Amino acid sequence: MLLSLVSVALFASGSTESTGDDGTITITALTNYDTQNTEDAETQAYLLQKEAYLEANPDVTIEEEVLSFGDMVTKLRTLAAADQLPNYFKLGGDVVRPFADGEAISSIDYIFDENPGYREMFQDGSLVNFSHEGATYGIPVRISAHLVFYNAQMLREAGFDSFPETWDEFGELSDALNTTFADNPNFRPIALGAKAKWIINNYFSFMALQNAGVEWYQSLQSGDGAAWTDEPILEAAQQFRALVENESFNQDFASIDQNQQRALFYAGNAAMFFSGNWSTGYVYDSAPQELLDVLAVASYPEFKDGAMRNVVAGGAGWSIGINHNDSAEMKEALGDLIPAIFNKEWAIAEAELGAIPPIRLSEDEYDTGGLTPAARQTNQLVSDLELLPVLDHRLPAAMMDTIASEIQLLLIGEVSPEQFTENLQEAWEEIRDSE
Amino acid sequence: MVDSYRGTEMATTPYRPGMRDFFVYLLPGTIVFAFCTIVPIIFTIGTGFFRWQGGSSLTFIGLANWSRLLGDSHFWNALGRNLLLVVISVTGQVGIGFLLAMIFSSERIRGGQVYRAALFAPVVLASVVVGFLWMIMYNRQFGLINAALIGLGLESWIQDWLGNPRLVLYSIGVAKVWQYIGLHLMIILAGIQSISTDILDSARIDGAGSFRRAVSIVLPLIRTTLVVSVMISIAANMKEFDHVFTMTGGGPGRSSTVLALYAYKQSIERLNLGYGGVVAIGILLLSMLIVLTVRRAILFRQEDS
Repeated sequence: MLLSLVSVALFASGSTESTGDDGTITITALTNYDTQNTEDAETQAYLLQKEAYLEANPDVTIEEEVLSFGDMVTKLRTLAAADQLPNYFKLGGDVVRPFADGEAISSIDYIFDENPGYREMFQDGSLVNFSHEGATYGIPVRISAHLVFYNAQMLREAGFDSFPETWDEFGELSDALNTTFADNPNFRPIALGAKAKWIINNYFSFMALQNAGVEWYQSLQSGDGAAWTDEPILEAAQQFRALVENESFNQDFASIDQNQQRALFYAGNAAMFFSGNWSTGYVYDSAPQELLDVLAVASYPEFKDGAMRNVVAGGAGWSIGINHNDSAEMKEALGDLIPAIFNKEWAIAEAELGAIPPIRLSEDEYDTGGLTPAARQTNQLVSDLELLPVLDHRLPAAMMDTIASEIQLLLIGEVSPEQFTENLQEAWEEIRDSE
Repeated sequence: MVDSYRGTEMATTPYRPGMRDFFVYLLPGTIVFAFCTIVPIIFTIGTGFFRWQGGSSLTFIGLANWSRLLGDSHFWNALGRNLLLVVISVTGQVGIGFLLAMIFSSERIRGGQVYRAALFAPVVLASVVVGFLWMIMYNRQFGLINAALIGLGLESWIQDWLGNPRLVLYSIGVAKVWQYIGLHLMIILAGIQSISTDILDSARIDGAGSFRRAVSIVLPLIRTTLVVSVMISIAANMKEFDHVFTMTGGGPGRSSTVLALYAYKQSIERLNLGYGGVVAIGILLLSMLIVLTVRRAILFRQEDS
């Protein structure tokens, strides 16, 4: 009896299709586009477009499950494991390869084929993070830019009229800030929430690639000689560790997350925090007005002799993907839905709300009147500087998890920079051998 | 028994259910057990022979995952952390629970029910809630712990309780002890209250003090109850996940990564579902081994004495 019950359970399967007898079609989705998230441009632009699409297509119903970003990431991976993904969903670049190889997601090239000119609308390089073995698996949803949010008034009080461009100059700034605000025992120049792995991964990604160059990364991927133990990567690790030794970070950096890091900045216990343009909305929604009046953004400091100068880290990290198990009818429906929602109007809405859309726009195509000062500065940075790829968007999830764990050990002094790079190389070789 | 209606004597025979009755009454529980326990275990063992990164495509790799487990230092280090939590929890939850049970079993305590209710309240809280609560209390700048130390003039004792790799497991252990003391108090108190008062009165008359009565009379008589308490504590700490995930995420580094969190990281964060399942089976086998070994050791000492 037990064996028969077990057998039934093992061979039972689910379905993602829902088409009514009257021709109505129900499409399931999983995103983090919460209607309460009024400060996020990407969310608001999508909701506007979705509403317009549903009005124009009354025979379509979208059953969308909305979760917080972290919960969404976990649930997506869990659903992929169970082969129970919804019809469309937010897809990260770091899982495209395993999901494609595991037949959890489907190529969206047919959408480009059916809509001439649609692929060309997207900015150069924005689709590469969602491509695997010649096929494209996702429509990018925004271009992220990694930024430093800083209190310009605090920097002026420390004797700096602009944000330093190199790590050497940043060291001087850090010392000056610690001296200027020595009366505040809780003050440190940078608010860091190292418990959030993506934050420390962003730091290291920028340091490593700016110093070593994109060619190093390409050589690493193709196995042409580059290694994590190379000098530029070691330098990046040493610089990261030096920030701790120079008391640039808050003392409890190892135990707080991104929300607590912003709280330190809002409370005046830090002059800056490192994040990205996706935080702009949250900052303008939560920070006190006197801080917003002196808020500015800058790209991360650079190694003076790094392989790439005048860069800002960023790119398309997330996209909209579709389930491999979707029927031909469902794929046809998604082939109508996706270009109808994620089109130029959507890009204009994102741009006017302060995000950087992945679809190419000229300056006269959208109204900049509603942009916050930080959003304007961000747009200027992205147009002035070259975009530097982000490791999070490209490396396997296992490698990014290892990097994050090793960075935490590096920052708390449990491993030396040399041991850090050796551990990364060892993990990299293990991952490559297992593929 | 006399059947007064029929006016005859009937032999009293106990009800013996037939096979059909066994089947009917056991079926619901069997179904639940099968789908919630047996099926997942069998499925997990099966996927352990595959490389699986999500989706429907699995690649057969034989015993590679199983042999990897034996040499995986991260797995065995995580086991060590679980064992440390077991020691902290058994010592704190069962030890302090026993002391409190001895106190509350005394007739001199007034309002014992109020204290017992207060001590049991954290038990009904979700572990995630307790994790968040203690994470805030441990906050270096705003937390209650460090604020209390400042108030007592002990600024030198201030720590980053969850950011120090040498303290983090003890910090998590304190939160777990706080949450579950009430549970073990109730279990042990029930055992103490089942001891005949004549025995304790006799010991008191013979001059045995409180400590001697506790050690020489109460402890031996509630050994079976203590076994239950210790088994519960060990099992709970071998599958510890919620507190660690909420409070530290396994960090800093891997200093608080316990077995269940390691299985989660392998499966969900690293998309190594086949190996994550093998880790989960490893947790099951090790937990059974530890629980049975400890149980046998405690009961063996009881028989020996």
